[in-house]
Amino acid sequence: MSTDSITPTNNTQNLSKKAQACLAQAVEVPSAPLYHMGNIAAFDSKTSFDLLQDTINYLTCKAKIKMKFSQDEKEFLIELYESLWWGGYAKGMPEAAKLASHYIKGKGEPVSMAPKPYQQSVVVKDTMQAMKLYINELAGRKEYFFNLKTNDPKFRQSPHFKPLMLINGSRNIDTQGYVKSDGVIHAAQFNQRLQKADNRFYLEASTEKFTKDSFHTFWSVNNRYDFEPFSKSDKISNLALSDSKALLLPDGLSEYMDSGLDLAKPFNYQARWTEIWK
Amino acid sequence: MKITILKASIIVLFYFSITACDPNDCHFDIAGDQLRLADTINDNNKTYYLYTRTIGWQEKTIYFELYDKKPEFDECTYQPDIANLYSIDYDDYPENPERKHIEKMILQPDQPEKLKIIYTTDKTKGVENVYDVKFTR
Repeated sequence: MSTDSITPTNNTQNLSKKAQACLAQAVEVPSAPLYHMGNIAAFDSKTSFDLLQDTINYLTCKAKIKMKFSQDEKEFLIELYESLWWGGYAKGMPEAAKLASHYIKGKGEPVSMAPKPYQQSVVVKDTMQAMKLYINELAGRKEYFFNLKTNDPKFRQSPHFKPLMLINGSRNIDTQGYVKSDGVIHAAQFNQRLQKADNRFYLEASTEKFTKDSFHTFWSVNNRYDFEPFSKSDKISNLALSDSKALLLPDGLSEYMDSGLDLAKPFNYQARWTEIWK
Repeated sequence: MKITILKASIIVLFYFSITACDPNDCHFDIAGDQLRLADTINDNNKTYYLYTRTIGWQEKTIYFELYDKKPEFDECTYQPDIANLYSIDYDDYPENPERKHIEKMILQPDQPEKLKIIYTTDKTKGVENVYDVKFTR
């Protein structure tokens, strides 16, 4: 017998076993996850916590083997993301909240983001300063300076780039953030507002001469909002609802909301701001 | 109509339940840091602790943090009660052309680079799941 005829049968049997294992974990999906989340946040309710986490675990199991979801199960996931909007907004992270909400409501359309969290970030300010010094040098040498991105090889080789890098503790990860050798900016860990909205990104500068001695730069960050599938990552989001209770939501489940359930869509987002400088 | 009113009521109750607390506390943190003790090792009669810290929401970064005493982490801010000796990110990102696995995690406490990480793109040589990484002995 050829292996071609064995493999599909084995795969079917394996899938069937996995499906049975998932169904053994089946729970009654709560109709109002928001209520239970509030119950955990306000009263540290173990019953509500167990109900939500058991449901997430059950749906994760089903998503991993691409089982069909019922309408109630789909609605549960949608409400979970809606609650992130409410929670993120209430906790002073409006950008993260907006992006999470757009994932389920935006149909993949691009969205703009307020530039404030970037503008207030230490590592972004340091990078802007380094880029301006580099642009000034290019202009002085009459070289092309109109478009520059932090991954530009020549910029990364310039002396202005080195102070942005993390070299054996040269920058404080918590309070300053840093830029990787490939030009990706990493937000400071203590900058919760930016870290949760956009943890890693490139900065781009489109610059023109404004006057003889000054420049006009359009700064922008262009990024994509998506999640890694189960096959690529075991990462999990930690949704702390009370001092002692945090729901664990696998990134793979968030990704499956797009690839398997058509409940969400990845999208591009952009933040822009301008500056006139000398 | 009844369902809409019920849902609206739940949202209002939910909103008040999470905002009634101090806005700086850890109730309803959209994505708290995740901390895991990955390994401990004894070197010159000193115990070193290796933790992973995962931060971010849709785009996560994993850091390796090295301590020479067992830290206690604040359950709201996730910050340790002692400073780490060294911290470095796990250099495996979706945007990289190839997935990187850790082949070696070498402790070198007397060097400025206290954790030396050697990567491989061959998953049979490296650790497939980053959370299973241990010190190289």
